[in-house]
Amino acid sequence: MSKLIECIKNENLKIYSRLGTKIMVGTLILAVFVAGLIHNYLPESPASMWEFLYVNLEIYVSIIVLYAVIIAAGNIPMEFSKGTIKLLLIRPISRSKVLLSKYIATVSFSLGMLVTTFALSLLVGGIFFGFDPPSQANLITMSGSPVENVIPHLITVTAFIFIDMLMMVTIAFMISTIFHNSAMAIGLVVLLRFAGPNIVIVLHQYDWAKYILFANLNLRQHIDGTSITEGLTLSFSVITLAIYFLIFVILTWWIFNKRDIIA
Amino acid sequence: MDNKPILQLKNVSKTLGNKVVVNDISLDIYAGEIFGLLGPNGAGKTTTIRMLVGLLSITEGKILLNGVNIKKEFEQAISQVGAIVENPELYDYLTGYQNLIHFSRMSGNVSKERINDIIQIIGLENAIQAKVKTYSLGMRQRLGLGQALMHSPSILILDEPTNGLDPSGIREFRQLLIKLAKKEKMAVLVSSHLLAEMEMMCDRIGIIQHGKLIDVQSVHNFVESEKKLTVTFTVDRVDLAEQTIQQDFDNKPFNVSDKTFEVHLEYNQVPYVTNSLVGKGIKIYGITSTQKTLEDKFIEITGGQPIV
Repeated sequence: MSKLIECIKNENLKIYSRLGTKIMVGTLILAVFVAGLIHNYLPESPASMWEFLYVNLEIYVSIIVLYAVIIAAGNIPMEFSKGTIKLLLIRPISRSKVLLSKYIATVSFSLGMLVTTFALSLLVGGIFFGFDPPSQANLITMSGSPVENVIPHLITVTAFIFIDMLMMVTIAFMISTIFHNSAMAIGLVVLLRFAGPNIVIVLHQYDWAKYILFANLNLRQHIDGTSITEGLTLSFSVITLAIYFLIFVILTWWIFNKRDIIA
Repeated sequence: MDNKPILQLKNVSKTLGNKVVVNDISLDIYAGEIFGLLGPNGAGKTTTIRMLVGLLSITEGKILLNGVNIKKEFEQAISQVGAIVENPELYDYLTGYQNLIHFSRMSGNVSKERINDIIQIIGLENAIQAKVKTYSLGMRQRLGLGQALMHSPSILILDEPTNGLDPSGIREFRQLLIKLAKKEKMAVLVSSHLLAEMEMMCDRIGIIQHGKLIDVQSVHNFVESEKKLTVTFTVDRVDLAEQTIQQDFDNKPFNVSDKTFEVHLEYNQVPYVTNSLVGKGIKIYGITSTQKTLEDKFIEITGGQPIV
């Protein structure tokens, strides 16, 4: 257990030391400030810091998920292309634990980006549009119903976004572990992400459409009631995602453990 | 040398696809011994080393490190090993120190003092806080050695270790390895294509060709077993000397030039030949003997095909 923690420290060290990571964090912070400036000069500026966060939510999520996927997809291929995997896997620690430490570090970094961006957005929103108590948020969801209680709603939304991101990171991890190619993993995940919703729209008339990963990925559709697929409920989506998750994880670990290291 | 084998390969084979890359290799390496693995590219040296450290699965046979099976108890077996596999590839965006910390965390039992000692041993005190991407190949090699030695392993496995070191670096490195093997009773396995290097450093040398271990010899025996010396004489009267040797020793000099000639002699014949030349009033300006080099011997063993 303590070895696992040491390994997670190592993976964090490597993630934070890379230039790419610093650029990602910098652009995220910049994006929030730019959003604040733009909204400040728009004729209809957000009524509150809460609204400022909600109107920009999708943009933040797109960027963060992309960054999370890039970090996840690059982690293992980079060890292979630099040859460091050979020194990494000749330590008294199992391959499963090495992979787990990489996964935990990537996921926690992604979650950190998500939470920090939201918190920063609230702060920037507060500076530009005033710090209002949550009771005066006056938010309306995509389906038109008002948001009663903004804090629990925000927490639920964040949790659902996290699950979405977790699935993306897991897929990127799986593809990059199988093919040792980060560009391919990033490309495939981004492609699936853009094409996924369209595939669901095309196929939503069929009974089995609800089993498609992408029909279930956006759990937020259940809070806002915007789901277009028949028979989808929150618990159905959660169970489906859990099954997909298990398959991805088992496949990734199995392949990483049995593979010959010839890098 | 101890009689206890620390590193054991028992009928180890490796098949990749349907190609047999390593074919039934058995080998024991002992504590306090430096063993050299020699072979042409693609002979199976690196494949063997990768199986030893658990990077490749073993198709057949088994590998024991200090008696522990690498396949069955990987963590316990590998904790005895320090290694550089092929090039010393470290994290170039981290500093040398961060690299050492990184690998020490994975071994578990390395103190800060030990890391500082290692930095002294590998002589990187002045560069340890610089990023590895600024390092020369020689410095990377030293850092690689540092991460391999840090956890005081009983087995040290080094693939092409002198690659990129300058001559004085190689000398230092050789002395360090000999010290580690003799004083700290480590079993050291090196692969190298530098024959002369191997000769100076190793106690025994194994030759791999086409995945098979075709010969293992101790370096000492290697040289001793070749009793015939090639002796070069530099004299004033070559014709008379030639005649004398033919008459007295029934031996024909060759490579005759106006001041020198060569002759095959046994070691204990050399003084008698010299004596009889002096007896004929021939002035001798030089006698040099050359033994058959390791390289000649290897080429002989591998059937005239070059080793590297």
